Amino acid sequence: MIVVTKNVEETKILAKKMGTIIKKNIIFHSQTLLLTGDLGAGKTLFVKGLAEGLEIGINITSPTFNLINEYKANPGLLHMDFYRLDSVQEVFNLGIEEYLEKKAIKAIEWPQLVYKFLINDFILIKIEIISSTKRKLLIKAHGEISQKLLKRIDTDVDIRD
Amino acid sequence: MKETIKILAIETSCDETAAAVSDDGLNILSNIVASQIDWHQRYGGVVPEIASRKHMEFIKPVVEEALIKADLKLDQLDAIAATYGPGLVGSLLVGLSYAKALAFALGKPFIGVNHIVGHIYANFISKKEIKTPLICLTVSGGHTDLLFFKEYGDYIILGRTQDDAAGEAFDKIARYLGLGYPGGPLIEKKAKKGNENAIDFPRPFIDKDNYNFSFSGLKTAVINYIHNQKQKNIDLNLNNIAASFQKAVIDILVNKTLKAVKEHNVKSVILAGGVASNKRLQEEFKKRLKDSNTPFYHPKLELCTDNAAMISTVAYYKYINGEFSELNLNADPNLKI
Repeated sequence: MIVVTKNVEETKILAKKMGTIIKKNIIFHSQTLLLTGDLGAGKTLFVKGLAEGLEIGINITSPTFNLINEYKANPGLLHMDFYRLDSVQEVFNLGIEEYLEKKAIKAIEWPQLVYKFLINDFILIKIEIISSTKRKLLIKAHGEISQKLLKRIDTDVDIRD
Repeated sequence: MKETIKILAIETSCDETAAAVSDDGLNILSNIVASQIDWHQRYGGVVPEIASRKHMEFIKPVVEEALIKADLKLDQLDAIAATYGPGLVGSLLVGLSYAKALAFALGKPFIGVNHIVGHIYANFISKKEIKTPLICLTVSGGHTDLLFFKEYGDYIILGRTQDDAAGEAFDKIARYLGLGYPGGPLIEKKAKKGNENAIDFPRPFIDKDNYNFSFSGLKTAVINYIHNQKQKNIDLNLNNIAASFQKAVIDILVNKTLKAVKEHNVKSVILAGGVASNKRLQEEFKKRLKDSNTPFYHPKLELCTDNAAMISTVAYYKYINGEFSELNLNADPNLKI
């Protein structure tokens, strides 16, 4: 699925819709979302929108410093960011396997070092910078549950190229 | 002779393995920091695995050195303190576990301290004349917090960053420009040779009627600017980019702080956290606070960065209020004020 958003608000609305769908359906409550894209593409912004849809209730801030921010709710949100890390071993040492098994939404920025630990089901969101405000989002689903989720999003979202 | 309270504190929340001993809180008997910066310069960022491994290597000699410098034996201490958050969990655990084990073995009270509160108290160490109530701005790699501090132990958060921390913006832009790590001092150095009015970067949130900050949009604006210049084949003037970016960050920080000063009846303004060591930021604060006659303080350079002396000072005020921690206190990487 490809979506082009004209500005920050549109990206956030898309993410919020995704969050709402996840929140409403218990089968998606362990969903993993991987976010890739250059610095400034809007990965954390996307997670902010997602958190709104999930009704986390507090403002999401950048996890770059802490690496993993945990937000309690039903389902909860684990916001991870491996921008500062350089090796798979470091990710392993953080206890990534335990985090990935938790019953919570996992939103992972700079996930390149995490691929090794993923079990088959996840959604990959690639954010490309088109212009200073315009973004192209390529959303791919891997695994049965993620494909189901993507289908729901696809029928729900009206911002499209 | 009056007995004084001597507290050993350990701080391992991020880069530095640090230990210090204070005497009645503000009198620092020793303040040892084993800087790990060389390791990180090689890797272009804080590498947690390296950080925790180095903490384990350094902690024993650093604590021993702190006691030798203070000319004290373990049994002469009144309490053991350690930072328990926020920070990197693997790093925090090293100092916290060491302190708890020491407290348990010695049968002395243990006191867990919030790292961010430590940065605020760092100011009271170097400037004992600071009067409350005051406004405190804490700016570091993980935090941008504006606080109204009524008196010791009584403070409220007025606002904080809604996305990236100010120090994080410095680090990310420095890395993007290929300058290296840590970003703050490197941007500052480049900025000195540049014109800070050369590029008009946005100042998000600056006129909003609250005390919150936002640096993500500014970061994106700098990146967009660089993209555009490259596409037009224009050579980048790194000095001007650094200077203009730094000025935008400073304007946001200073404007919000001054708004808080105006709206609260305060006797002083203090600047805390790693970014507090930025000379241009200090200069701007001094200039803009001149008219209001509010004294402005920033900690000495060695107290701006992570250190254990400030943890020890916070622990002293907790000690005299009987606020001890349980030995099952866990590290909290997301600890808030």
